[in-house]
Amino acid sequence: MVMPIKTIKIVIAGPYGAGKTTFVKTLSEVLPIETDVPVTKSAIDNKRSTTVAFDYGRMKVREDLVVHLFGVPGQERFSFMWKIIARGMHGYLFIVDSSSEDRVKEAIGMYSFFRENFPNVPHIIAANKQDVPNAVDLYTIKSILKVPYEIKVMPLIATNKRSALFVLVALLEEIKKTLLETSRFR
Amino acid sequence: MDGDIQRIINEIKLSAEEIISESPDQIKAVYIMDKEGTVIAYATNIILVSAGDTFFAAPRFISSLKSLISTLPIGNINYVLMQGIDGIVQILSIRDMGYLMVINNSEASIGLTRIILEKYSDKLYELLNRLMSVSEEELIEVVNVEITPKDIEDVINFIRSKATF
Repeated sequence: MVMPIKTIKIVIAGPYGAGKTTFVKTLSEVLPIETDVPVTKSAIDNKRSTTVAFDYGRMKVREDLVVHLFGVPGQERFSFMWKIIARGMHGYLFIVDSSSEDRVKEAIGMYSFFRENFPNVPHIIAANKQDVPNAVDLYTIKSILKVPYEIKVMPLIATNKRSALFVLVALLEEIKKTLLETSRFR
Repeated sequence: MDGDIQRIINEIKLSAEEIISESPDQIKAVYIMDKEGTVIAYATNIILVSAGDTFFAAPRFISSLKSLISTLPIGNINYVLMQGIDGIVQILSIRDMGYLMVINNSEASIGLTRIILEKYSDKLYELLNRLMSVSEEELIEVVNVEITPKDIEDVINFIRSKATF
């Protein structure tokens, strides 16, 4: 009997230029993440193969467990795809460029979209470029984006391996917490 | 971004530019939106609109019309017209796929523009339809096998074991 493969789907969201691609690239330098590989439906249903449409990374954890990372195109003209990409995700990381308040404000629309459409999906906010002088502090980011109290806002330097890993693990912890809570109420 | 998706969006943008060229002395701007009111492509008439005009440079503002256009069609009404001092907004529902919005210079061209909108609606329907199916097709479907907290724990441990600096 063929063992079903479990897929953990994580979406990396955030406006254009926030650092999503850099984040995945940095992770791939420390973790065995395959990038630039075609996403194939054949891996799922043996029917067809299509090429990747987005920034994408795949990490095999066990024979029956893989993690997929999907980067969402940040430009608003691609926003019709956000919902499609995010469908079935287990959690998302929302990256904002925290180098200035204006850059943080650019994220308001996209973050509202994700909150409205996926209100119960675990996520964290990563404030990228915290190494830039006068970067916006986490409290202000939380206030600008109207982040709910229970949602974590974490500092991130997407080019830094340790920082990127720390944020990814934090998101996974949130997903685990949600799964535990869900299973408790069953 | 995938080539197919980009190509279709470019074709949509080209259609927006063609609509302007149908009546360059009247049509100020054209917006093509999906069924949720998200602007997929727009074109402005550089002869009639100055580059510094923020109204035309801000598709985000246009998408705030979502609440209005998402009500279309109302019964058999698939078209609305709004008249202002500096222009006229005409919105046509592209069946269940999206909306085509045009901003006109004067009321004299309302009828003509309406005909132009109708003329392009089939082509845009086909393009939006292709865009939606390509977008969906090129995404990996997550297999519906339940993930457990133990699986996530395994991923975290895996990351910690691999992450050497």
